[in-house]
Amino acid sequence: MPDLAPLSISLGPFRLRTPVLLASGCCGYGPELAGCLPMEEIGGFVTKTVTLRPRPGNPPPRVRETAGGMLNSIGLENVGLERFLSEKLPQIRRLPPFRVVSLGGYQASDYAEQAGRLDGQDGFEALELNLSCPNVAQGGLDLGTDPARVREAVRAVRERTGKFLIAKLTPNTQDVVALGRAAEEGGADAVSAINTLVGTGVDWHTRTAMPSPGSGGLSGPAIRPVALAMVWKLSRALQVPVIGIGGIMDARDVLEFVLAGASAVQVGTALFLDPSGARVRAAALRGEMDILRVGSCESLRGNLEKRSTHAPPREALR
Amino acid sequence: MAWTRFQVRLLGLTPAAEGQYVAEFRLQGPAPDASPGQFVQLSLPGVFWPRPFSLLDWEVRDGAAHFRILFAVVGEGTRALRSMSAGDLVEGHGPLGLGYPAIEGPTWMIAGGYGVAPLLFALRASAPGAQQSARIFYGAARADLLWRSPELDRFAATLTTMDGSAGRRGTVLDAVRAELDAGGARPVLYACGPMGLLEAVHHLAVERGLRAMVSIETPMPCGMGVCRGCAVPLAAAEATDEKRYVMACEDGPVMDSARVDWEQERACRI
Repeated sequence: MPDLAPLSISLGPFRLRTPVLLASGCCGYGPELAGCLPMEEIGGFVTKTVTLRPRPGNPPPRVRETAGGMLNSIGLENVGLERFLSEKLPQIRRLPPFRVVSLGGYQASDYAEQAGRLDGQDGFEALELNLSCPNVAQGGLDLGTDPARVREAVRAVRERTGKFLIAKLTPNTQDVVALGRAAEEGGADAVSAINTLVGTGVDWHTRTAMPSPGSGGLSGPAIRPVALAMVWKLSRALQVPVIGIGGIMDARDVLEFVLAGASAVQVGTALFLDPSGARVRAAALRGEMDILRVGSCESLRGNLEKRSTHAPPREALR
Repeated sequence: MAWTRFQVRLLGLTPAAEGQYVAEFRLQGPAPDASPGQFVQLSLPGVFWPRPFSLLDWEVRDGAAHFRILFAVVGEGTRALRSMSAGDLVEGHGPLGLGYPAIEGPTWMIAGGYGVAPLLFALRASAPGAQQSARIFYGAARADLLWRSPELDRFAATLTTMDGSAGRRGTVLDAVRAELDAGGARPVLYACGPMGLLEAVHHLAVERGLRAMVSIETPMPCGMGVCRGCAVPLAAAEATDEKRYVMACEDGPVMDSARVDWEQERACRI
């Protein structure tokens, strides 16, 4: 394994081995990928979203390939909090940090109740609130798009937990910074952005909308520029660290998000293409840093500049 | 080693039937074992997801695993595969999924089109005694859509075509039905082919009180149970409020047809 020191990066009080975390919904509960992806060669992982009660998930078709990405409507299929505590957490405990448990719910009290039950438990370092899962929105109300409800949910969880608290933000909004500020005011220790964008595919054979609910969440490299824009904006506007998510496929993409201000990143859809995560593991990251002459991830963070509209004097170009 | 992330070299593409090809690959690096009915995920140029391909065979020789797949050019992924040349490298992972159980007693294999691939693998991989107790029925719409593998003679395959241009006229299931009617056989059915055929095999199995093992085909983004994308509706007998679906990739692709809610599956079919 390469020297990890230049890859390590701070996230709040934590020191991550590398900026790369596996994104929620793309690595099972964590142990599923540990056999093929050495956890020591990444920064950590986020479990699939856990809800108070088990969810069987949505009917098929749940997924649809798109240009440069995919649509999904899995419907938060998960074993529920009880079985998570009894079956999954003991396995997660055996994996190295940084381990994040993702929580989902319909209202602030759902998140708070779960956070309370998890607060006394060891074996993980942080909670991530999945504030927006468009696939399970009830009555069209998506908690994550309303700053007031985001603030309320984060605050409710904050009162019940001492764990590092990450609020995952939706991009399906006019103003992602307003959502980020609301999370910060509610007491979040970090925000992660972005969740999937709402999209619809067409199955021409049956003339039906895909995936099955008629729309789903778009992920993959197609959304990366959207994610970069939002992460850059959030990192300049917020005091808390930002975790960048959206279409990261390789080490270069990781470094782009760090440059745009991310303290860490999450890799999701890319894991479906290569569950070994080879292109975002330590060796790949180190190789790309050498090519780009990046001394350390930490020193790169937040250095993305706007291009000047004034031409520099000719001598400055030399 | 259950499965591995690999790079494979395409050794060659051979025309098999109209619009169908056999692709042969050599796996670089250490190789796990594979069993009939398992599949590999191959990342093909120009498409986003890897594509799952059922194995036609898998053998380790000269220290490297060699495997073949039989595919029809049906979409962008298979078009890309068709355009590749011998020597090209492809990334992927596998072998994945649950295959067919080892043959024990009378087993009738029902192949629709290029679904013949894993069934030939299952026949070839079984002991000579088991091969004696097995039969294979292989159907397509027309003669030119049947892959005339030399193995079909070896296993005395019963061929069918809809237009009668080769073998018996009618569906592959017509032939199976006729043979069931003719003798007192009570075989286990192994099937691979279009979902409509698998559903019909299931109904035949129910009608005759037989067991059917079918290989489900559906898009599979990851192929290993992580993305939860390839859900198959569970039959009422097995479904609960908490568990209504199984994953074609990790609970299959080969599963007992009685596990599937075929009515719901048909409504969800793409």
